[in-house]
Amino acid sequence: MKKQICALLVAALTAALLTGCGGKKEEAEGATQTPQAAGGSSQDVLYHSYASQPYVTLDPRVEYSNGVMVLHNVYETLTHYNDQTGNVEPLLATEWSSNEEGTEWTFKLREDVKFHDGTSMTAANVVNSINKVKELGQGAAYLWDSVTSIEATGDYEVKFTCSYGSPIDLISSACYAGYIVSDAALDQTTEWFNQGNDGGTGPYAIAQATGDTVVLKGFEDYRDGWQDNQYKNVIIKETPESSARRQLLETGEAQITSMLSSTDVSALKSQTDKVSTQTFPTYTNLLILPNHEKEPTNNADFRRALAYSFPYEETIENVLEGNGVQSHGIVTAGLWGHDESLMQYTTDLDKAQEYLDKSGISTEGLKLTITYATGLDEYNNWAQLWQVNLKKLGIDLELQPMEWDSQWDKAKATDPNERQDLLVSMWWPDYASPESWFTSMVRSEDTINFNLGYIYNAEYDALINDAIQVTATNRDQAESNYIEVQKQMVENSDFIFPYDKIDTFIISNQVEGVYENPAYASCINYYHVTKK
Amino acid sequence: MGKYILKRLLSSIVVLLGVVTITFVIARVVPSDPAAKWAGNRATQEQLAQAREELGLNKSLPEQYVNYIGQLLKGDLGKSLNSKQPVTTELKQYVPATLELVLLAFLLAIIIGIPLGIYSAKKKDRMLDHASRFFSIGAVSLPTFWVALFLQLIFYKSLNLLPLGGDLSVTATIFEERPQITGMLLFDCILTGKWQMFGDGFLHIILPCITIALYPIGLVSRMTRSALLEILNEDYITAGRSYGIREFKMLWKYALKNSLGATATDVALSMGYTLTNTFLVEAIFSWPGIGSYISKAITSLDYPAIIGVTIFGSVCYIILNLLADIIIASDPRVRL
Amino acid sequence: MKNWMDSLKPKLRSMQESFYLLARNRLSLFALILLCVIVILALLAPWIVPYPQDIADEAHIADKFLAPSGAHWFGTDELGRDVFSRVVYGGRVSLSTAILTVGISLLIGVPLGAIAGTIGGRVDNVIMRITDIFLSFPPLLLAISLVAILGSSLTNAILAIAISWWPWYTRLVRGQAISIKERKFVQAAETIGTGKLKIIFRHIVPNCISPVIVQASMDMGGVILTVASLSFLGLGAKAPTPEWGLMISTGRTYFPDMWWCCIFPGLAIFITVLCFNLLGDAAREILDPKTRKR
Repeated sequence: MKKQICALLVAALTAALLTGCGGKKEEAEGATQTPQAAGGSSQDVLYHSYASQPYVTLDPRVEYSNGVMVLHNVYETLTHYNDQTGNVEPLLATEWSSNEEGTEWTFKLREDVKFHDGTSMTAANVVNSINKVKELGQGAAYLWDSVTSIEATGDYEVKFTCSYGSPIDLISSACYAGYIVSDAALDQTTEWFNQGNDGGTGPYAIAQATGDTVVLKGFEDYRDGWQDNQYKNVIIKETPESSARRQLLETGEAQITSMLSSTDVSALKSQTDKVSTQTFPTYTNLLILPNHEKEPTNNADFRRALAYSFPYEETIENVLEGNGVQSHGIVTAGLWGHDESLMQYTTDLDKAQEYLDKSGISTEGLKLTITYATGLDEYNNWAQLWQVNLKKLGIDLELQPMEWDSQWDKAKATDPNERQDLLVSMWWPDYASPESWFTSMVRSEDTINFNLGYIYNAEYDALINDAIQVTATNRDQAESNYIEVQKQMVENSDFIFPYDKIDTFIISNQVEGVYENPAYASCINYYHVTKK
Repeated sequence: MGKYILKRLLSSIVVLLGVVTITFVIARVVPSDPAAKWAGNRATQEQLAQAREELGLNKSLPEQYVNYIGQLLKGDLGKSLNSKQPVTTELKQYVPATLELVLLAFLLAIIIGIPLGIYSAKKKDRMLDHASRFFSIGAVSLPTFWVALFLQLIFYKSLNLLPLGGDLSVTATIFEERPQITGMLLFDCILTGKWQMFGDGFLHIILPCITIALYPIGLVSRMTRSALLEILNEDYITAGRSYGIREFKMLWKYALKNSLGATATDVALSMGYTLTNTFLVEAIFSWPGIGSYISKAITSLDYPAIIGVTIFGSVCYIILNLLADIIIASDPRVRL
Repeated sequence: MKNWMDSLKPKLRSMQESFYLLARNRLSLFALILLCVIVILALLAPWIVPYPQDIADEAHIADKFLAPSGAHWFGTDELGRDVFSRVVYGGRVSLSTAILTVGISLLIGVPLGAIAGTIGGRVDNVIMRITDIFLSFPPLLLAISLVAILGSSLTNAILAIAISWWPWYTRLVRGQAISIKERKFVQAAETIGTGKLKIIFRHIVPNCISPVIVQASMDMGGVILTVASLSFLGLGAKAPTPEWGLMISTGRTYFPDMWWCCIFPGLAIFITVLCFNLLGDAAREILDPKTRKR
């Protein structure tokens, strides 16, 4: 009812202005365009309202951040990971095979692939692209570390040679470091890419890029062609405020958004005439890393007390309002290496007290610092809830939201006493394998980089290293190794495992086909989004 | 007169050097490692070392200082850690939008503030005078960021009359070429005759402009009022009154003209305050100006950008102060 | 001290005589009373707010975002805490931060100003140039960049604001000191060979402190607003501190649906700052002979 009155008011004002302006009718129409009235022409544009900057760079050879949400629509990789089946599927490659040790891989390529500049893709492009990524050595270039050489064995055939067995088919499906780029673009600088140029084979080309906005235009010669109900214009624009993004959806200006506050999501859920809500599980999880090199968090019983005091249910139910699910160990649900039978801690202050007593640590004047990323209210909220719980145990939790670099710097301080007691980390794998959780955060490091809980455990190291060696050839063995590490980690409460993230997307009823593959975090395949 | 201006100019340069030195000190005591940001979130040790070299962080402090001054003289404010673009380039991109907003706010302040000031001086101690006093003090007491939210609540959410933010509607950004002459959208639209875009842009500027104009409106009306009252008490006005010169004519010819200098000075000085206000307001209205730019830089600790905006703001402020002093100095009644 | 009060008295008397100042005074008087109420509320906050445990000790997330009602006058926030209790307690935070900030500024500004004014010459020149440099940063911007880079906390915010605020007091005190040092008692002290420092802190500072105090209390509003702005930008207080700017900043995520989380802390800032500014304006008019009626 209220909305109708508003619309009437707008209509009346428009009418008044139109009659008032007489001859200048056209201009007046533009001048009185309300956000709602703009809907007519935005039909042909797919507007994805995004919470942060859509890219750091648009250089497919080095980008290791949000930019993949753009690049994934502009460039293509050899293979694609199907999260439903857990299989690697063809994309630019049609088929592939490897030797038994997983050290030699041969990929056959599609022959009908065209770059946006009109040239055709051949094996040489694949060789050049991946060599360039390795040469620049930035971003996720490390993914190719095992590859010693890559050569064209035919016009449409490439061969990878690796120093140790590695799952090149899986690695090729990553949304980082594996994009095939035209030769002309490979010679360019990152700046050239950032000016809105590209050299991809994907369904879209970059038309405009201005830091907070990216405009994509459909690539006419895309091999699968274009249907009338597909969007040839896509705009991705940053709007940091949740309420603002929500309003863009309500007025019909934008068609896709995510990362809304829980209140905005629940408000939109009731507007089924305009939008629908869809949730997608992710491979992203929240981990709390206790400092294993410092009193009192080096004490396993103390860490168990911490784990029993964490407000799991309140966080998931009330703070995230369902945008999360309690973790089973370090590997997220849906990815191999995940085990539902791993034990979960519950919020049980009596048990926490029991373990606290057992640890023999006096809570007198005990103060723990926790560092976490700024700007996310869900962090602030669960941290405050945990603070309240810990206060009941006599432990003072000091919240230190900080920028990631500051957090990281503090964690790497040369004096262990300057480091935090607890560090909150959000992690997701770079490609569909649990490896990076273990190699980055659990395996011993010579210089501290991402093992910010400072775990040095020879047994874990052996299991992890073994798993890496056999991933390409014996995935079951690798999986059971990873599960064994997790079992012990949960038992010792080496980390606290609060939740796996679930992404909630709000999608306008005008469109369908929005899907977020957890292996490609924050990427939406706009080519598959259609008008209803 | 010329000598005074020269002296003022020289002291401004000294001050500027001081500002630059302070910002250098601030930037170097930064507790986090800028190289970490530059190299990216999951950087390796080698990438960090490389970034440190690229940023010149491996040199000694005096060396860094000399480099810093040298770069500044060339107009180089360093590169943003976020976008890796030169800060100067980015400022050039963002400043016009802020300038347009501030100028329009001041235009509004003059159009509303001066008549309000005249009226309340004429009707001294009546309701309107008190109301205008309350308004002007109230305007300085309001948290600007809160006003911005409040206006959004009313005009976008409840009435759905005005757009939420940005400087153009999304469809216009995609389908129409933005005129690029001065970078100030409305002005460029007038120059190129793009009236439809002008209308769209105008709707977008209303709310941020009102929010920012509140303070200068109050200020201008108070200044006009007190300047008028002071002059109205001067003997020549009293004399004029007794000669029966019409009140309005007298107000304009003798009083207002004389008070303009003082008002202009204060307006120039209050621009500094207004500039800071735009920093808080722009982010809320997603206005593509330096305010949004610095808020983003703050949340991501992009220190070259923060320092760049600080230096830019200070330079503006110093220039405005200089201009204000010159206006005062060129007033023949002031003897130096 | 006494001298200054004496000089003020006739002004006060003439003010009382004029109807216009009296009418003006009614508003100022109201502001004064309101301010007293705010100060008393802030002082007694831990004992009088309905839910003192909601300040920092407890959360009731099941009761989050309750609209204003009899039980929760200003509703509840994202963790189910009583907004009214937190807004009232927030006065304590804001007032004490403002006092601290102004205090630190005075500690830096007053001695420097007194030294500059009394000694003069090169010392004066150097001090005033430094003052000029600090004053040539637009207000708030220096504070923003200081806290942004030093790391955000309420303590850093206080320091940062003080660093950008002290030059005003230096200017004010310097002016006072220049006129006071010409007075007979200072000259007398000088002739009997009293040390410079002793003259500055025994004679000059005590004699110029009154206008400084007036100025400082007038600045309180501005400082409160600045602290709130910094907190709003995420550069000030940290959760769970019930700081007004922070409350608006947090509430902004849930705005406009949960408008009470933003609107009430904003009103609290507005009313407090308004009171300070109204009083300041009145004080300025009383002290400045120019604006007084002839």
